[in-house]
Amino acid sequence: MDIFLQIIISGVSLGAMYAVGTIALSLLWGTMGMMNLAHGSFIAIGGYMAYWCMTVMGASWIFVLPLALAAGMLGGYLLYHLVVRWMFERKEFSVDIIIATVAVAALVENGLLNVAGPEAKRQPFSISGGLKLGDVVLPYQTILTVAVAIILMVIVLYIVTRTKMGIVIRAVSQQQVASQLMGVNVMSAFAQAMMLAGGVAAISGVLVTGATQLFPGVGFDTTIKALVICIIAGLGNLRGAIFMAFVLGLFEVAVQYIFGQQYGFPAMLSLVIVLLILRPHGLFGKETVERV
Amino acid sequence: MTSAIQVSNLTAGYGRRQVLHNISLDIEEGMVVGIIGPNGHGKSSLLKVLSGLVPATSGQVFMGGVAIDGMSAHQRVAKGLVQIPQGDLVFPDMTVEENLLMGGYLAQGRTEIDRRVNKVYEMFPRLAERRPQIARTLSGGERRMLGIGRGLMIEGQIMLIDEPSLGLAPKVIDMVYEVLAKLRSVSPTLLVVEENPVRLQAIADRIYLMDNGEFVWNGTPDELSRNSDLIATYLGA
Repeated sequence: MDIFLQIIISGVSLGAMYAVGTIALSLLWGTMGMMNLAHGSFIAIGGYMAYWCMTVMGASWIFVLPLALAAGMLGGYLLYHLVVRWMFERKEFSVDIIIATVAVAALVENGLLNVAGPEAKRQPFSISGGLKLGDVVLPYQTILTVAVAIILMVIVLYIVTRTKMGIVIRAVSQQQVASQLMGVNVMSAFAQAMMLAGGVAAISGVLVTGATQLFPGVGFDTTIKALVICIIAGLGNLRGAIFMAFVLGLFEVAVQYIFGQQYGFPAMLSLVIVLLILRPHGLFGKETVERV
Repeated sequence: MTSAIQVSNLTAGYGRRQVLHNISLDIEEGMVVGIIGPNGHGKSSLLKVLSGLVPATSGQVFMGGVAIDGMSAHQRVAKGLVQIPQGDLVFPDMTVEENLLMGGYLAQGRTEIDRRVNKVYEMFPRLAERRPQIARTLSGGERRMLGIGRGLMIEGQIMLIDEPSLGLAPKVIDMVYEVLAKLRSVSPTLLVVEENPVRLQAIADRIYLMDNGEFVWNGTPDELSRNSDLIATYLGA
């Protein structure tokens, strides 16, 4: 029973981290047909912002999430205006943007290497200790991660489904021409989507690095996993991605407990291959997003 | 009468292919003008150029006497130029109500948006019944009503309507044209493109015939019905 509870707790915790790391990637694919492989840079920026805020500036933890959000939004704004807007109208956008964002990711990683150094650091936005549930200890860090992840998911889903900005982002993702004919400035809607995604990714970076370590390439692993989750869920399906993040988190932890630590990620990838053979558009996907 | 929209020597195309050649047109406020002609001869392209979706190569477009050539599509909508596009360009994964709310994107305040939504529901009671339904699950006729209703939400001064009867059953076309007849009270000026002139003749003040990207004839609906040679030559009917 304790092992089962431990698997649930660790799986939900890992799933929450995957979910929060996936939202931004899924949002941009769903709205802009944009595979943002610089996603990991936002995660690193969020982590380093938390480190800079608490360790270098000596500020309170209260400022960490707002500052990470602001840094991520600024990053999204800059990525849109410096890179995306110049190639968005092209037919080859979906391929060009993959190459361009890989280049951006390399630039950011090198920049962080030069500024912060290559050594792994402990990210200070973390809580030690835990809650005892019988023989099982539920770390406070896990509670924090799950709580922030759930709050973040609720906020993002609320913005996308209930606010004017969200309705516009959804409209643009479904029908760009019709959106223009309703008076929507499509480019401005994309800039807003990128700022939202950037902010969310940076907050996820604070959570991810709080549970692991902080180093310039920290976002790479999360990006790969987020990509896998997005593809399984059906590219651009935000709710499906969140659901699959928890399913895969639980699956990975269960495999780790039963067969050993080293089998978790390979088992997850094997499951992905099987799912993609059976459901080429993902579990919740209708069809691949086609830019018009 | 003042000009609602004036087009002067307009030329446009896609890449190297010129589709429109020296088009000139003057539509007075309150008029309903129809453009007919064979398929693929530039009618829809003209509407796209007027609404800013396709750039003009040369020539000028004026709205209420003001040049709008430099404006993007969304800026023209803000000036009151509304296009209801051909086919089903509704937002497929949004509900009927959300589609209409998108039509009210530029409207100020919830009360004003609600007023416009209710007005559309009065005009299309079927849409009111389908309020929470996802747009892609609607029938072709309902989607066309939604497209027109969404355009009405903008409450512009000029409406460009592209092939409103395309692909619809005769009964549904009757319904769509009843609504277009009512539109005169909502939108002062209408420019309607159709391949077949029969239905258009009942609502238009003036009809232009387009062939190979040029206007080859224009006149009143009565003049058109008397000119059977013209219809036979260009429309094959």
